[in-house]
Amino acid sequence: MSTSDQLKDVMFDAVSESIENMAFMEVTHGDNPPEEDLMWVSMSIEDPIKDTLYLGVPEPLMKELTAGVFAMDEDELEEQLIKDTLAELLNTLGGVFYTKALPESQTYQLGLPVHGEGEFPISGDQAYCWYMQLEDTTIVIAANGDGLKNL
Amino acid sequence: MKKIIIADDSSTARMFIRRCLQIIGLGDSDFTEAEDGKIALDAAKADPPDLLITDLNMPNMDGEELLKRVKSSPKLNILPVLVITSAGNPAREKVLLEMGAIGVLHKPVSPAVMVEALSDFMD
Repeated sequence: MSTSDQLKDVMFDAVSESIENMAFMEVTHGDNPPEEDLMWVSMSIEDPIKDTLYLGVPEPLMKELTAGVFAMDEDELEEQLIKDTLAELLNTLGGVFYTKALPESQTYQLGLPVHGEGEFPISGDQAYCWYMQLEDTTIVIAANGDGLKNL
Repeated sequence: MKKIIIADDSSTARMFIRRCLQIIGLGDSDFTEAEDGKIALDAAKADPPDLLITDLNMPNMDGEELLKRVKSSPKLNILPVLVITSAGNPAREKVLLEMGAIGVLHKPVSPAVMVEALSDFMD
């Protein structure tokens, strides 16, 4: 199995563990990029790793996910709460992913999540890109930087 | 009634921690939520709680500095502090435990892990 395949499996486990714990939603593998507009957030991985991790989720799914997390109706949700849940999801799955992907002795720090505007900034030819599905909707997680390339 | 401060810059994370505490039987506690370490420290000084649960990665004052300030305060140094973090980092966790944290948990936190970490506190 190649490093790329191994990372794909590790990321799938990290996303599954995080989303199933937060929102009790099942995650499956996806093959293609999402076609919808995405809400997205990024987070740096630092000291001494130098990577950036990105998470993009279509807004309707993010609303559904947040409503499930907070046991609220979707029309009661404020935008900040939806963005906060997206950021916490990246923070959680990022920690699980790098803990599993890196050697046990490898230290690293997570930066604070930063929300992005406009189109999702990463494509598969620039970085690792993983597509996964929640209830038939595709989400994307991407990572670029030297940390994973040097594994 | 126990007084518990939860420090995390994410309202979603604070809600998760409260949910875990409810599941393990601490739901009727008097909760104070803080968005960073400075707010948590000010709240603890104003009204010392029975337990402080803190994230590590926060703006203004992070969880490690909060732990350091609590443990160096004559008024607060016996306060149990539980650290919850996303990043797994054994060397840093060892330092946090040496600084006086009662435990270091990784997100996503489950009630089972939480109850084990807080067993002494709950007795």
